Amino acid sequence: MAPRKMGRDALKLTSTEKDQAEALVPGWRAKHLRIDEAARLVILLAGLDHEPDTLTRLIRHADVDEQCAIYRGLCLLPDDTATVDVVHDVVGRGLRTHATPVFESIAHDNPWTATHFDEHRWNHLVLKAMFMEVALWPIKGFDERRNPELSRMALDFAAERRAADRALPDELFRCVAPYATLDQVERYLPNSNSSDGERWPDTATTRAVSLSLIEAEDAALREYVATHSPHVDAIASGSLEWSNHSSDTDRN
Amino acid sequence: MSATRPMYIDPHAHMISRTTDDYEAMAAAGIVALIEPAFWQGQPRTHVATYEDYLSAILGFERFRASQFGIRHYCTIGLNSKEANDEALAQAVMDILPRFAAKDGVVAIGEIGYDEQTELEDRYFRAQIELAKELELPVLIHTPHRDKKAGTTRSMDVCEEHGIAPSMVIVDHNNEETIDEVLDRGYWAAFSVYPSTKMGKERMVRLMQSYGAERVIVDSACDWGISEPLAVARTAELALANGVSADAVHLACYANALAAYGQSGQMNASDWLQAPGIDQRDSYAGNSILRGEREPVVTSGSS
Repeated sequence: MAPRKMGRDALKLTSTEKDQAEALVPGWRAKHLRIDEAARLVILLAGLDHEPDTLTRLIRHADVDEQCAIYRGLCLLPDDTATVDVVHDVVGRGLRTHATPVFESIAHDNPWTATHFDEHRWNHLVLKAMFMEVALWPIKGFDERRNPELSRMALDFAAERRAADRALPDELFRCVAPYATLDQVERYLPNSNSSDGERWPDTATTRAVSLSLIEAEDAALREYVATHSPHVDAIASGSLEWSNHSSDTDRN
Repeated sequence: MSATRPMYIDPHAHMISRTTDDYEAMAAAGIVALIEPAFWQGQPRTHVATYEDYLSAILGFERFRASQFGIRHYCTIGLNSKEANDEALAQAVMDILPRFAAKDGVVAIGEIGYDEQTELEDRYFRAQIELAKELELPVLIHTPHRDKKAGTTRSMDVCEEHGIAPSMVIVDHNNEETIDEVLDRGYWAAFSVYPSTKMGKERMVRLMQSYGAERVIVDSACDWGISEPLAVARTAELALANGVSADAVHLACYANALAAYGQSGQMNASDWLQAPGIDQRDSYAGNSILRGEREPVVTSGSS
């Protein structure tokens, strides 16, 4: 009913309202909501009324758009133990999806996962994002939640993709930056077979690799990127960042 | 059946998601038998009743549909790793599984194993290995798509903890990173040849060139996604064209699957070599696959 009554336009917030939303729930970007999604969340919050099982029932019967609306609003739900247990369950259900919009509604601009997932679930969220070719940079809390096991999983995934002669996800190196050494990742870097000192070409991949590794923990790896990447200055000046790295038109 | 016509088995095909065109093409390409592993259907079931109906369908009407194209259809029965994460559903499914697993034509417990390697997945994986031991059935392991290498190692560790012989376990969805360990530890190593993502035909042929075909099994894993029901036949043709021996192709695309799943005592070459002919005038519980005025195909037996 919500789209029939409200339409599907973007929820047009004033800049004051955006600031208020950010202050109330940091990292949750209300500006990405559509008006019908906002309406559904208002109805959900009004009707939930300390009966978290309602959420399970709603998710079971929800179509893709309805699921996305519920998942986008996770961090507005009550934080009592009973509700959080139910939310864990419905989020798990949502993440097992093959439908990209549902996965993204949980993974992107949604601080709930970073604050509620243990390391194992967090790592599988990130790994599945790479499998589904979903961007990592809109995942809130990503840098803070990196861990050695995620780095290990990402390196195994890189080896598997390389053995299959398939490209690596552009953002994979973000997972390994605090832990991996140059020796471990050099073979996966752009132009790793070309002569020393040759600069990487300017592509979305080299932009992502540069953003990922420019602050790598390993000094040799940092140095390697500084030598090969054509993007060091753009990153330092702030003109190249995750939000524009894959688009040529947004940059400059 | 003429002596020159190749015979293949597709030991992993989710035919419930495929059309009669696929059955027709598979039969024409030389598939004589296939195995339909119980799995999820792209989105999780939420009730044990829908699970029961699914298991009944793959054991019943799907077997009939296959027979209408001259293909013998077998099943594996199990609670898959994705749906194992819904504890209420999983427990209810476990209660009904033995009834289905003991039926005719069930050649293994599967596909079971890990998806995200959670505690619930682990619990139901182990419980089903025990069920397989009790029913003296092989186990078909679905190795996880994510964190595959570690998940594959762990799957075999758990099998060994439960004391099931590697020769009774088919480890599926292998790739270049897992094949060494799976073969070294004595398991059957199956490969789902799936366009673009899991394992392409060319990669499969390269693996056959490097590793030979002992305990190697090729399957299509065709399902509701973009997949190729002719993958086994096409991989066999590509392998032969690239110098893999006819004996090796026979092992990987027919004989190994028969040897592995034949351990169930439920799958024998005589099932298709001495099969009655196709009679599309048959119906299943009153349901025919014929629609409209189509002329039914009727052939004599293959022996």
